[in-house]
Amino acid sequence: MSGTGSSGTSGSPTAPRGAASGGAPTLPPGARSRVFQGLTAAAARGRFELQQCAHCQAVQYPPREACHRCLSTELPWTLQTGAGELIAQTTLFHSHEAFFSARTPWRVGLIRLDCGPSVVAHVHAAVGAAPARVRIVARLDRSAQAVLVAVPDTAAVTVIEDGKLAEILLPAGG
Amino acid sequence: MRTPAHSHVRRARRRRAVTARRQRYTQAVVTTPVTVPYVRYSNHGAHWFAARALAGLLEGSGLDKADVDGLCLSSFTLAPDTAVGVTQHLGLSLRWLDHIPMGGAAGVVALRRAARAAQAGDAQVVACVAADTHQPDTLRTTVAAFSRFTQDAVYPYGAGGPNASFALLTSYYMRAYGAKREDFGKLCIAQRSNALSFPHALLREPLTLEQYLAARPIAEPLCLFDCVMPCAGGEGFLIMRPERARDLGLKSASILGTLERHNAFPEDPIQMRGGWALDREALFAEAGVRHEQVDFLQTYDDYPVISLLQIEDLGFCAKGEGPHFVRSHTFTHDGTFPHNTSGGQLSVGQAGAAGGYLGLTEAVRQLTGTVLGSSVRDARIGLVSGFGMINYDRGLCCAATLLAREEA
Repeated sequence: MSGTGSSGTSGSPTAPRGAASGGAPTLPPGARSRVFQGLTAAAARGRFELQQCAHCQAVQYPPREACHRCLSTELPWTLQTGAGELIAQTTLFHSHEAFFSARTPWRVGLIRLDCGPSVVAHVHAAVGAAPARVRIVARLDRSAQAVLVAVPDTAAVTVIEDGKLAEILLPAGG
Repeated sequence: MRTPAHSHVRRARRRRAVTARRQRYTQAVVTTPVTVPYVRYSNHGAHWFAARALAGLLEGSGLDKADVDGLCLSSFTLAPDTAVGVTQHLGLSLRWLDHIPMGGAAGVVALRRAARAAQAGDAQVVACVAADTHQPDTLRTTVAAFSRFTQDAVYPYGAGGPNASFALLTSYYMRAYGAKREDFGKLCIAQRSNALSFPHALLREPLTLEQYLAARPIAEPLCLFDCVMPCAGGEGFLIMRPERARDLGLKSASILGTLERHNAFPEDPIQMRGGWALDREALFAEAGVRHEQVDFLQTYDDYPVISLLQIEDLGFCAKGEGPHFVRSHTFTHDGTFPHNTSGGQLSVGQAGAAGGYLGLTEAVRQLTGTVLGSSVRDARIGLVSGFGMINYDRGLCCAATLLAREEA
């Protein structure tokens, strides 16, 4: 499908934060591939790492079983600066998951990393409208899986200063 | 990867390789378009809709089930089955079977594969069917496990599904090429006007620009009327040799050319063009058709921005000129550029993979004088375009076909 789109209803704005309408606590989507665990392992140590091909040096994302350029399967996880540009953004008023329905409107962006790939990421409130220079950091969300967050391209700002984002993340590791 | 020792020899061989000449589609036609009426929700399984589509194909053609020896099937809601299970489920004994998991590109891809099978004699009659059911949680479960890349790298970010992906593409397109919401609205409103006379459209209330602009936001900049409404339903058509269609007394359309391309332009930072841009010249050359001869265009329209990409990439205007093109044309069935003449998915509904067939069945109806809604006057040549599968940040499958009215 390019899209089975949806015009479904937004989550109730009065729903308690972090709780579905039934009152049970909800979590962000936690399913990931086995290969993705490399990103989560690095994020748990406070590092943003991506697969970089040992043979052709291509950096790639999402994580793969082989290099998308030369098909090498030697793909060591490599520290990245996270520098990039927010090239498109949206604010979600509808989500398929109760965890996010309770938190709309929710900001998401597409970031072109200087090292090559484009990544989908949560966007910190202090990031300006696209196009904007940003830095991608990897953090663990409340499902204990890595997520990428676009923060302003200034060293002073941390994820925690955006209360709404901080709420879906585990405390920073590292 | 280690460089092979004799790579220079291999490269020389590659340079000498002869490109096989493509055969035309002169020995296959498309006929008997059917629609299984759409409903917002259904308790039936996808197999039910496939069965209704197949029954419609038999009823429309006068063929017996045993005459169908090929099946091409697409569905998102058939699990745990594939097309294999459907052969036994529906009591079909086939010698040619294809399952095409390409969503919005499925119709055109089914047509071109089935045409080759019929032309080569691997099958005499191929039933091409897309069928899906829809229940309240269908969309969430489909989207949550849509692909490995979306599971790892898209769904955890707000779980917005395709609305979110197309919102990103739309916001970029608006910034890059100066498109306004009114431009997208013009396409949506024209399609709604086309849908008013189409009996299978689920949305048949007139839509005004004021209503379009005032609709509630779904994923900025997308609002309610920019997003398809998922539903249950089915579509189908038959592919066979032209003499067989004549013997059966069936009205058919001829296939002038096709294109299919997957994962085009992978280095683009965001999708602003699709595979049509790579292959459109070959498509029009194969068909021997010029753009001004095309009487109508059926695009894949789950969101209006993607219709603009198709108009540009199929060569009706240059890249980035889509907004200007919209402002200088009208898109109803009697307009200067008839587009999505049954209303498109945005008005008919998106019955899963059947959304990838909707433009094709409508095109065949327009070209065979069997229109259910409003006719494009004197339509002789139609272009149908397909687009499918947001595997990560962009749609990977692009396809298109030029069809023509059979000359008496």
